[in-house]
Amino acid sequence: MVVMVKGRSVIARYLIRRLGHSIVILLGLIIVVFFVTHMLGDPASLMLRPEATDEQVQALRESLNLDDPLRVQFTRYMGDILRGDFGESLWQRVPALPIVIDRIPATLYLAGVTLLIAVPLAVILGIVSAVKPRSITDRIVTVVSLTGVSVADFWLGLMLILLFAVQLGWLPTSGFGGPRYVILPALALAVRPIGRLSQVVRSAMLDEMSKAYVTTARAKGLKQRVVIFSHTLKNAAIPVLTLAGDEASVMLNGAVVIETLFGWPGVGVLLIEAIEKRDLPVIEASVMAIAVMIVTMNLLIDLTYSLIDPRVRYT
Amino acid sequence: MVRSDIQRVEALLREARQHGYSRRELVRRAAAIGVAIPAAGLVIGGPASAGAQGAEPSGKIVLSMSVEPDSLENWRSYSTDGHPILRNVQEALLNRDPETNELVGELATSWEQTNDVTWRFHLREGVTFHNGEAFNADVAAFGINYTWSPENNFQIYQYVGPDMNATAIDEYTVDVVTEAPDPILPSRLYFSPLPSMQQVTEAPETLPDNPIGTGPYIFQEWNRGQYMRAVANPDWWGHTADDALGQISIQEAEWVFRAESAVRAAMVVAEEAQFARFLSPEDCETTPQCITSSSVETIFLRLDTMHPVMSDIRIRKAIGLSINKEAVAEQLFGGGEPASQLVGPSATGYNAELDPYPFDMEQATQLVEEAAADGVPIDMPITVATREGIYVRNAEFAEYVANQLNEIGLNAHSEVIEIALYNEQYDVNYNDVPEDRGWIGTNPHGNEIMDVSSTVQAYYSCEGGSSTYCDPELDEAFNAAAPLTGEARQEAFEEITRMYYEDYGAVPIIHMPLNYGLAANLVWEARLDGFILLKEMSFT
Amino acid sequence: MSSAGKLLPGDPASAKPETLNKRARQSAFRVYAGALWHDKVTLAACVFLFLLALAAIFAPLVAPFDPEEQSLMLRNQPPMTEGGSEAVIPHVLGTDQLGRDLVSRLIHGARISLAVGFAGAIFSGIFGVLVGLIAGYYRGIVDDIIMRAVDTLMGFPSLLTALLVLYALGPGVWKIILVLSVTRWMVFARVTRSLVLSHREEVFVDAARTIGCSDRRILVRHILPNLLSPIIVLVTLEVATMMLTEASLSFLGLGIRPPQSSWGLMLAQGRAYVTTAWWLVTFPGLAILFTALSLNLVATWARAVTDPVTRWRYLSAGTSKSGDE
Repeated sequence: MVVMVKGRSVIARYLIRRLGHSIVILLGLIIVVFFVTHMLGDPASLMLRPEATDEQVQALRESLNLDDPLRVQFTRYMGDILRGDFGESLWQRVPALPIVIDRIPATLYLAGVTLLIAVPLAVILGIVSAVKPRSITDRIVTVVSLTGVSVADFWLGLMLILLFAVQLGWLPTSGFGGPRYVILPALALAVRPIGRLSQVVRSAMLDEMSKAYVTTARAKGLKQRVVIFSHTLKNAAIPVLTLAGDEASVMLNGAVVIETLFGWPGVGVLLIEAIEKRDLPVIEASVMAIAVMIVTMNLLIDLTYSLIDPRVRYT
Repeated sequence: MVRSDIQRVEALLREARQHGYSRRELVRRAAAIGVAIPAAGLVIGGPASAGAQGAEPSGKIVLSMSVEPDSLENWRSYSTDGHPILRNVQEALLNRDPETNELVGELATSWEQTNDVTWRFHLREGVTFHNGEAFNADVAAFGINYTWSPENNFQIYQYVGPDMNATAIDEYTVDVVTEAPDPILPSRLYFSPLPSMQQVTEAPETLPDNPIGTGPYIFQEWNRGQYMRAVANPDWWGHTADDALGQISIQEAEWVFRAESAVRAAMVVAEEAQFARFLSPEDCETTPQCITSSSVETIFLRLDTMHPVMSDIRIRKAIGLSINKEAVAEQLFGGGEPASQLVGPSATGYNAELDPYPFDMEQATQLVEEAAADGVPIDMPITVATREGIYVRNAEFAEYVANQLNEIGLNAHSEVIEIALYNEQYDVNYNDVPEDRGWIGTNPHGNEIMDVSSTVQAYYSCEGGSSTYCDPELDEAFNAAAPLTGEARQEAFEEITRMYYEDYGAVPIIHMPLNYGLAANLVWEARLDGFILLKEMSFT
Repeated sequence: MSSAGKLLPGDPASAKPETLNKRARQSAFRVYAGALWHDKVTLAACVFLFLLALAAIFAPLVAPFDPEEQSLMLRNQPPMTEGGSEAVIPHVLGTDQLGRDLVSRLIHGARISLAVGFAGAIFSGIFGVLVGLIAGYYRGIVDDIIMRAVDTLMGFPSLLTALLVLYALGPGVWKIILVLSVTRWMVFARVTRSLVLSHREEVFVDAARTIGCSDRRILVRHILPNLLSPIIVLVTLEVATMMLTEASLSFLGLGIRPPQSSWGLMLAQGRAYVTTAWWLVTFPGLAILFTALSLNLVATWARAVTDPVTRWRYLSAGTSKSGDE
């Protein structure tokens, strides 16, 4: 009883500490993004055609308050952000944060479906591979995995569209809607995680299976299947989970190529376009939203380590 | 329906006939009293019903565009993203005839220049906005002043000449007075559709998302990142006018946005869309109906004429001779006419006597050798720079040009540069460019106003915003020509065009072709100005 | 730590032939070579990598055509097209979007791709593993600071990083490697740390600490070897990712300048022709695939063969394939 109570307060203290860290991270990101974006060029000249005169560009800068000294702009912007106001998109002339929030569900949806496809498949492939290393099955799985990692995403996406949507007409070419629309983009996105995860599963399992205690356990007469699943999978789970988190963070940052190709209204395309246009409010809002998701995810993963391997403690 | 409901509907219908409600208005009011009336079957009576135009509009068209507009305020129609939607929902005083490209009346029926600085427009009567507001001179004047106001400084303001001010003379007459003579004012106004004064003054926060206009289509909704939708306007003035230059045959329109040309084409092939814009030549060929048209854009090489190498006219001429324009047009761009100047044949000031610089590698090499013998430092590096993604095949074109320059003895390489960083370099005036920069920029030049003056202003005048050329004589000629109109203007600007043609101020390459992929049953012809007007489309 | 000590099962610091005397080392080499000979697939991979390296180094001698020679007329020609009038051999893999020979461009492009892929993967791998080891082993505030830095970087858009480097340092191959390393080391840190977190609780670590081994020794000799297998796998996979990502950076003007090329850039430039000139994308893609695959096979083999825990599969006579049955 005493241990449990103590354990709970340990978790609570840990979470509070992590929350504090997260705020520092988010603030740090906002500040860095602000200065980096300002260093990188002038949005006003992008809004006008190349033939515009210097006076016209200057006038636009002034009307957008871009001409104030950097210090002034910074204090004003930070003040706004601390009140939750990310400002208006320079290009779209509507508040930036709602634009970004609007896009998050689509990104989460795609990332979720992709991981749902990728992780179980990768684990199965990895196990199949590790059970008989260097066999034909293993080689085939290895080639498939490496292909998944080496293939160009735009090529795969286009091939899927041309085959399943244009030739066969089974699925829509692109766009956002019901379950039919998410299948092709998720498939295209899933190949790399499948490739990476399956190889890491394979490697971790091979290591574990070779260890002495496994041999000992088998010597006791346990069936091979039981040995594999209970001892080795658990130990392979930690690096695989971490890696899955990394893949997820790539998708949360926005699988830009896939989103662009499929017209998927996610955050990734929004952020890239905002960067290209130097649209600071949208950049900040997007980075904020994405960072919140990533930080939360990493925190959850860290907490899960202790669940998988009770020896891992929180300091 | 319950008896009380029926009574309410009858009362409403009586009211509708009395006040001349549009069908849309009727449906709205019915909803307000809690009754749902299907709009389709209603006949209110009176001359404004849609039946008068002929067949009922039917069907739906999905148009696959490349870029989603940032917002839908009326002034955004200057941009290629904005006008495909905005020019169907809103209308301007003037438009262009799709075949002759002449300015014709849209919301204005006639116009004349009453003195040097004043243009008078006579407005069309019987036009209403989608929100019921009546169109008249007050609304028109307000709209013009709002759109072109220096205080508002909307992006369209970069196309202004002298500042303009519109005033209503009587209910259907508007005078537009400019600060200095502006002979091409009408073509600026053709560019800018008019918003609803009511919307601008009472509900400005709805302007970016919900354009209200007088046009043949009523804007319905915008799901950002996904689609925009509009439906046919049953009360459009064009139903009963014979100079509407089009009619409504399609009931619903939906615009979707796909950045990849191959996907836009795939949508048409898979019958998810009936129209795809800006396709690459190869993708266009996969669609059932591929239309290639010329555009107002010209691809050209902008030379840094202050560079020690490119300041020598022999080098500039050699550069002009080293590009095989026909091959470039055919092989790289899938079409397009080789260009002799930066504007197309439809522009005022186009000089029809000039031919594109010929392709002659021998002469080019010779010229370079001559220049080198005279001490021109031909080893100085030249950068053929292009902006990432600015037009289809731009990276390859830049590589090709660099290769050709190397073949004739110069030292060139090509570079694809990110948008903002490219602009920083490109938008620098002649006087501020470092002498050794050695850039050859490959932007396309779009002359939407169709008058060469804006081209000269931008690229050939010493003070031009993106000009890397300076000839004081040319500037003088330009200042003299600017206020001229009619034949005098045409002649004066032809002369200016000849001047920089012979000085090799820049090297025009081709007039850029645009490719559109259409469904087999869609009838439409491309316009030179690139407008995509639903009233010009129909299904067979 | 004497090598003759009583080492617990699973402790990687058990005896290897290389730690014995010279004669043992010589026979060790023969043992490894024999193992490689028996594993034909990995042998093939080794040979491929070796030939690839040679081709890259001696590219101007090996390439059949000048990789920069353009011809608008011979644009996008399919494999086995006849060369121009002076050519003796055909364009075996076709021509690209400006009429240049694909084989020659692949060979010359190998230099950049291999450099970027390997250097990027190795730098980010080494840095990430080091950081992860420290964070996972020492925990406490060091772990907090490091991991929060990782979180921050994971949230920072890589495009901004790329543009910043471009703006501040200008273009160039090394700048690409810098950008790629800076944006990709975090995964190594996190994975390493996660493995360290569980392994540091192992019995043998406790034992080593009790006996008085320094932290560094524990990390390097007892913990690190346990992590090497998955890390090596990740590094080989990262090579492919780096090659692919390099393409988008070069597109921004960050990296190599045309007419130089790399496999990644060839892929990106061929994107517009996927349906009409499939060879533009397919062959660079295959090049990346074969390189990554071979690297993966050789690296995992090398790791498995030298790891005392797993080497028994590879070194017993007659073991050419099979599981542990």
